[in-house]
Amino acid sequence: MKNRKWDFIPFSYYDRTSMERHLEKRAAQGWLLERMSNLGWYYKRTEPRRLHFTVTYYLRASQFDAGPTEEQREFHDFCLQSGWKLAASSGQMQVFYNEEADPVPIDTEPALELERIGKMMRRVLPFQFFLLVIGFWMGGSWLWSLTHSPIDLLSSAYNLATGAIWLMLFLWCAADLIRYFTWRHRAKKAAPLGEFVPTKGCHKLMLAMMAVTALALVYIFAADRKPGLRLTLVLMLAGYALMFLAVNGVKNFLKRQKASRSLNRGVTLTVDVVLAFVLMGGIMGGLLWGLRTGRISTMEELIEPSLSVEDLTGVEDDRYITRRQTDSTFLITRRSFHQDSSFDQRQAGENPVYLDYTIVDVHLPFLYNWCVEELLHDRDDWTAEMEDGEEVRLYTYMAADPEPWGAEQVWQRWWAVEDTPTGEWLLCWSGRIVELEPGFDLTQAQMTLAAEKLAP
Amino acid sequence: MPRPKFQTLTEQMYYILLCLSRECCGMDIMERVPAMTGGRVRVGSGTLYNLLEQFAEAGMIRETRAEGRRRSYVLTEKGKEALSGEYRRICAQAWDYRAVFGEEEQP
Repeated sequence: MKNRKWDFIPFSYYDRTSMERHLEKRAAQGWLLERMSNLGWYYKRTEPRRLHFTVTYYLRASQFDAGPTEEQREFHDFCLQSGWKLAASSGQMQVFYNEEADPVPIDTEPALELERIGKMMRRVLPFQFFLLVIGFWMGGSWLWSLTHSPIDLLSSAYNLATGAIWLMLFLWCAADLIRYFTWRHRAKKAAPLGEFVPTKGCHKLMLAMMAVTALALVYIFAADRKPGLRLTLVLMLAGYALMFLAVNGVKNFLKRQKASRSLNRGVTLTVDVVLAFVLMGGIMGGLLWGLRTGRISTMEELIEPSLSVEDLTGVEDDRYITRRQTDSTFLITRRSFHQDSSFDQRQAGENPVYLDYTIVDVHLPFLYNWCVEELLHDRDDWTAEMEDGEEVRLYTYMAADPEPWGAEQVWQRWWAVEDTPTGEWLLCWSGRIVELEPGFDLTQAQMTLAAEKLAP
Repeated sequence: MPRPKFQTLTEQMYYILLCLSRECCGMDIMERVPAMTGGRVRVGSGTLYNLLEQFAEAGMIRETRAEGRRRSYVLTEKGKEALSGEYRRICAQAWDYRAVFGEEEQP
């Protein structure tokens, strides 16, 4: 039978009520808290008992202290005098339990508790506001991309996954801050009446955020088929985990060595900063090395172009260079090809025709029109100022006859200023959209051939 | 606008200061207050610890002795003034009550 138990519930730091209820529930199940750390709470087996728990904050304590100070011990003595035994402590947080049926609470003056939690939160709030702003910025950009350029966002496993994490971070920060300030407002009103207001944090939302983060990482692993990138991701995560363990290890080692608070804080923060730079440098260096040696690739070599200049013109030229890029998720797959002459050729004055096209495969039908709209308007912000100062759009798409392409819908791009057609097309089949931009005007036969090659 | 600290005393503050009219160990106050009030007023250990600290910072009590972690305190002149101010306020309230309801109608 197990005699030790561990759990990790990311309670909001101020949420004493939820923590107390959780610990009381655990005690009723026969588990008594004996240690707290950044990795969770640890319990030992006892007789199932109905215990009262109090979570309070001793503001002069620090996570870098080798042990409780004399003053802190005096505080513990005060609590013990009224039957409150220390179960565990971590930094400023002190957890006591009491076996009496109706003990005198540790805090009997609500104004004092409000003041103490307020002081404690003054250290936490700037960090949480910082996360809120970052989450708003990144999550907001993600939402903006979702509505304005869904193909970019939904075709990249990395963009899709990380955006969701940022958005959840924003939601959690906003909800937790709202909960805290609501509690504070109510507690301020209740304190003069001698009443305590229970706290209510957002640990369930935090758990949801952690679940989304885990799912997002699993999804990147599953969806990203770029060679070497999975390994890179594993190494990055391992690096972060090692950094976390190393920093905690240094802090705990110095605690065991009875180092002073300031020494421990100084050394631990230095190790933290140095390791962060080493990790960043390692990631950047590793990526560059991987790309240079071909151990990491963007799948360019793995995708064959569906159509080439040679297919269309019948003229073979082995000096052509084809650049390829692909991104794929369960929502959208995007493959882009650009076939052009080499730099040397262009320098020598040779300008053979080029070919650009992007194939977008939409795997979920409800996204299809959304993607078409993005492509129809992707150059709306290309504008020019006319002589009379009026700003006009350079390009516009006009519906064209789909018959020669065998497509369901076709648009041709026009020079809006001169009202003349360009040789650029948007071809739509069921589930597939192709943006075709050849550097030459296609004949009817070339259109038919291109359609055969590009259709799904 | 927030009131200046300790301008008025809560019941718990009042009885803690009252206990310290004679030198007394901080921890003993926890038992003295219920004894003094017939169990009507109880002071939590955290509240007592914080209030002793704040009273000392405000110069209302001073530390007299420290035996290990047991520290004793006694009321200062400033503390006495605060206590007597609170007593006068309570008396005034009692006076006002009697003025409204008369001596015979005791709650």
